[in-house]
Amino acid sequence: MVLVKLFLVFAKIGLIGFGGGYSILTIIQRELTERGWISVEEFSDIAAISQITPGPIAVNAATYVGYRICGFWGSVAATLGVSAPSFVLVILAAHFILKFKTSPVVESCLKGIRPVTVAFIASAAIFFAMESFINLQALLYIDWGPFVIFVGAFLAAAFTKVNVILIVLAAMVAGLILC
Amino acid sequence: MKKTSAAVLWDLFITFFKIGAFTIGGGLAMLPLIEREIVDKKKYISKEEVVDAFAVSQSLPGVIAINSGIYIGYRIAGVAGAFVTAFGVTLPSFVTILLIAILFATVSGNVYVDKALTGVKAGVAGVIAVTVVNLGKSVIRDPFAIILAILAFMLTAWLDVSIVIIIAGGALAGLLYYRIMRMRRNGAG
Repeated sequence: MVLVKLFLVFAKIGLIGFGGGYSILTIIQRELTERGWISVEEFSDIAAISQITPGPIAVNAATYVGYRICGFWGSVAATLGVSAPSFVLVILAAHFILKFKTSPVVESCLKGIRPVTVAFIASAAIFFAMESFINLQALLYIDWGPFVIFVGAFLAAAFTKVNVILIVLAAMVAGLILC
Repeated sequence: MKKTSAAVLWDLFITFFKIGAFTIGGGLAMLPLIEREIVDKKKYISKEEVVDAFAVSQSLPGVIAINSGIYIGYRIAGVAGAFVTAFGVTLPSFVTILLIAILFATVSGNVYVDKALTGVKAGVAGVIAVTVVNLGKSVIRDPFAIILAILAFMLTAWLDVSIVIIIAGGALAGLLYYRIMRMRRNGAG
């Protein structure tokens, strides 16, 4: 019945996963680490790997965690779970597209959800920072190598038009040298 | 459509397979690919409808690439189309990550892998921080949104409040706030 559980937990993630990749990252992290299905450190590894491999992060996380818990069929159950709510919701929305686009109820709800997803995305940034250079036990101690990479990536993403994936790959190479 | 539906399904599968395979980091990077393959080359669907698909995909929960695949697949070829696109867009990452999951146990703990991943985490933290700033500028523009974002952040970071409650709270707050604003506007006007 682990397979059913995997399917249901990932279906829940698919159902509440507003705001795209980075926002969903925070949601998945909470759902999985609180259940003890994966350690925070291992999750941060797979989340990092997701940034340099193709495909949506939620699918990557589902496949990885599913495999760790229940092998190949675990991967299948988790991936099916995370996409199942989309079938229902998107097909409904496609049918009622005009109503969906102009509904004040939908619009008001989304206006309330959007700031929440920005908060989730900020949490994702802090999550990665804590897994690389911030140490809560010793706040004044900063790991300089990863911190330099963080600042470099921030500046590159903010002020140049360099593709994000190139920035992340550069960060990976810099990690080999500086970390 | 019935006569060519196998060919249509195959085109949909291949297009979304490409999207799954080549859009690293996902999101809006796939829009040009969809436009080129589905709109310009095959003319299965209009450009406006792709824009609709994206708007819907981003406002609904779930993986944006899967959502837009389902929307476009469904519009072009019904439920079968939706299954084919969702399958196509997830297959590349499914296979890649499955291989990594099998291999990672043997390389995790390797000092070079750890260094490289630490670099990636630090870099991604920087990239996401920029996303937060940019999104903040476009989404958080009035006191209501500021309060909501700060509240959501504190509840997520420091208190063990369930994610479902935080999201539902945001939706409810939006519903109430904008209803009151509309009533006020109507009352005044």
